[in-house]
Amino acid sequence: MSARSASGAQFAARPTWRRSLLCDTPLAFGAYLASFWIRFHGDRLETFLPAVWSTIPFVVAGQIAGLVIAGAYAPRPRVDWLLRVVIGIAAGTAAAAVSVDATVGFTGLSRLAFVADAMLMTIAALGWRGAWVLWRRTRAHAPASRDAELVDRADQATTIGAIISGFYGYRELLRNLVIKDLKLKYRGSVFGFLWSLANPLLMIGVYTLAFTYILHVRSEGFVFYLMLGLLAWTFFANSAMMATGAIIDNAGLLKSVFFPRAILPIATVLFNLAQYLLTVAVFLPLMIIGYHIPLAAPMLLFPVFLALQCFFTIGVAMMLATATAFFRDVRHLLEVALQVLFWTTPIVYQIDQISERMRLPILMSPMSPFVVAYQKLFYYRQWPDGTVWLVACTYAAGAFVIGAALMLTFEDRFAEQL
Amino acid sequence: MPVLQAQKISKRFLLRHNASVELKVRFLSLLDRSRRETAEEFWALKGISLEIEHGEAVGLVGRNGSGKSTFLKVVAAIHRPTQGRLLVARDARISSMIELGVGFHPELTGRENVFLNAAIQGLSRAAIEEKYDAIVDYSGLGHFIDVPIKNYSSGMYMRLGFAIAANMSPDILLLDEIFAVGDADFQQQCIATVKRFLEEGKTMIFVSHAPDAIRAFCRRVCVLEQGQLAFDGGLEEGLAFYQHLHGQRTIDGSSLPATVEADPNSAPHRLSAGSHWEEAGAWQLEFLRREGLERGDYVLDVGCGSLAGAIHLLPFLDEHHYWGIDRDAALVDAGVRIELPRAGIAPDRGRFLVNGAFELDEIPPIDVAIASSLFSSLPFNSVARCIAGVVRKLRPKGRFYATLFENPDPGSFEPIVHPNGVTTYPDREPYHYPFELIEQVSRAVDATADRVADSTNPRGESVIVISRRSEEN
Repeated sequence: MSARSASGAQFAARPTWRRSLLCDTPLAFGAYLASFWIRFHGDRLETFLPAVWSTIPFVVAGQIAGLVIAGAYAPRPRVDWLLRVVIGIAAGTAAAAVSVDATVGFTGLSRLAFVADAMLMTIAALGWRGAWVLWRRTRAHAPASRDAELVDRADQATTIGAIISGFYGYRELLRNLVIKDLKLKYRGSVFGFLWSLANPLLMIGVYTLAFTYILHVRSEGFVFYLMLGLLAWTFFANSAMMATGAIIDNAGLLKSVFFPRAILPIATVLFNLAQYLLTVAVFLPLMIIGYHIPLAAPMLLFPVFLALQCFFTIGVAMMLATATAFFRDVRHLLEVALQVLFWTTPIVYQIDQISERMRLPILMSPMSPFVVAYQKLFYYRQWPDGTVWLVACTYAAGAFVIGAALMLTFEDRFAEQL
Repeated sequence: MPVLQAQKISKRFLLRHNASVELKVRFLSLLDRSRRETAEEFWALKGISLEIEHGEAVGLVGRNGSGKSTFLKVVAAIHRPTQGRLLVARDARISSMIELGVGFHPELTGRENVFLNAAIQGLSRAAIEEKYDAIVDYSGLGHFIDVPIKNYSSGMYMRLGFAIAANMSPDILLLDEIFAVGDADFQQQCIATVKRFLEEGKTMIFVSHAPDAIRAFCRRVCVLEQGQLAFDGGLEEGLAFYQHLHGQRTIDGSSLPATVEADPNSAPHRLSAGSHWEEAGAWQLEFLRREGLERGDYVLDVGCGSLAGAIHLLPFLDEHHYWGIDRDAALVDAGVRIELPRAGIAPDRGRFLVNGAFELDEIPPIDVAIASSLFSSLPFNSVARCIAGVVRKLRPKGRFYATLFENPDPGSFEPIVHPNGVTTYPDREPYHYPFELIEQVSRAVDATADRVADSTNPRGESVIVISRRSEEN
């Protein structure tokens, strides 16, 4: 992504270093505290707080220094700015960890918490910058006076309200794109729509056979547990894979018709959401009846976490769709990444079974908070921990804002790039 | 009151050399300088300012690459201007017919595609349902509307695309060369629709190369030249200006090969025009005179190249009766700048066009056309296009002579030894065509092809004459 971006000029402008410092410093404090809170499940504050207070200056100073050295605050606008933020935070956190080890020592601290801290800080720093870019877009053009006869359509498209009302105006397109994909998926097959209902039944049958009769897993309702994670994972993984093609496979359309480009990745996610909901509609009642699972109040939270997962997935889809327009490798990288992420997400194992040390990194895996939440709601029938809420909300908001900022910054270049 | 106002619009594209969408290549380029991506700026539009009033139909003309389509895409909001502003009347609906049927999905039926396509144009569900019947009626595809569109012919496909675009009831209509496609019926329907739009007081921007089409709709013409607005005014003045620009192209070319004075025969333009430059040129006039060429005939020299034939034909013919066309601007440039003065011929005695697609709209009807050694350097689709284009311009008794390497046996790949000792191969350049193929193409455009018994061609090519089928047969 070159600095000579034709239309990116006005968006490549950056917040002043004062404003950046004002946002980054409290976030660095917050991220460090949050990572320890997640590491120790929030219930043993007294055990780690003293150690945290003595080391927090190292970490905050290290991260801010890393950002400064990487050039994230340099006044010259460059488009690789966001990459510099990532590098700066990673290097700064590593330097902080080394200096903590050399001076205070790691007693009472967690090395893994440092990794989690770097991740949270990166998402927070990119997130507020993404929000700033979006906000900046709304003020990039002087708004035309209300009674002007002639208007610049670029102005209209750049207020947040107009972006949202623009999407509302194109809801018919969104609906049509989702319906098109649903129709095409089953066109030509004899049983058509029934397949989407048959799939979860077949999966349940196969897993019951495998785990109950072949492997003799004794845990009661393990297949139910497995399916909860697996279906949510499939929704995410399929959306992500499809999103890589959302822009590049529609090159002809992008070059000859104007419409908000973000509709394309959003439509792929909604298509997969529709499939997921269909599957869930068959599978959940079946399981609740079949395993005699009592209904419980926490299940009411399902729509909330589903909405969070949707925001997260849409954000990731927008990032992937944009990135693939510039680097075709993204699709192959994603295939590998999904393999790794599948096993770092507690789907086939339970997060309570793994060693306490590993729980933090597993919970920080991108899809984990959502999967863990579904398992809590339906399998354990408990309210999710604060840590799960924190990670899920951070991921959903961060991914959505960063994805939207990337998409809107680069959407002007798709027609030229493809 | 203007509905559209362009304020100093400029659009820059970056031509990326060595650009890649693969990460591997990008990383390698960090190590190896020669693979590094370099970007060259290209300004497709340079400071265009114009205002279009409500109900006006503006013809936008200019050569290929002059920025017409880019301007249309900026108006359609597909590209955003790098500099300047484009103001449009509040709430005006812009509909573009830049490409028909874009976004059709082959597996979906006609009906489903209508709904999808109208949604892409931003219509609400109620509006689509309201227009649906009109769209189907207009397309005349009522019987096929529930058939997957993959089974449509290309004509039906275009009809449906146009029917959707025509029923969008736009306030500003953008048309890009759509009359170049489709059969006569389809074109009639397009013309009727566009006329109806104009009667309803809609605004239109119309891009075309065909002066007749522009005349049919527009009273104002804008000429774009290298991204700048070179002319903005009345219809006839605009078209005249454009034609003038077109003709001038070759005369004020600037590339003068340095080696020419020393040895004309090794000048690049002569070499690239093929062997036997002198002889092949002189042969054209000798041959045509044997075939009855007269001074007052209008001659079209197709593939005039560096004017090998022109320097003999020009002095023989009356002034302005010679038209040369070629797709290589550099060759024609060299011909006009070097060969004409060498032969002592005034450059404005003839007319020269640079056009790779054999678009011959602006030349007058012709008596004799000649394509010397052209077909042997053209792939077949271009040959067919050339024959179709030239035949349309022939007077009823006109003749089109073409020389080509004949491949008597299309199935054979044996080397062919020509009368002058030159050996060629049927399966590589120069291209070889069996006579029957040329005959078939000619028949398709209502012409006949015959061999001319003549073995005097210096390159050993055989000669074919194509003439319009006379009315009485």
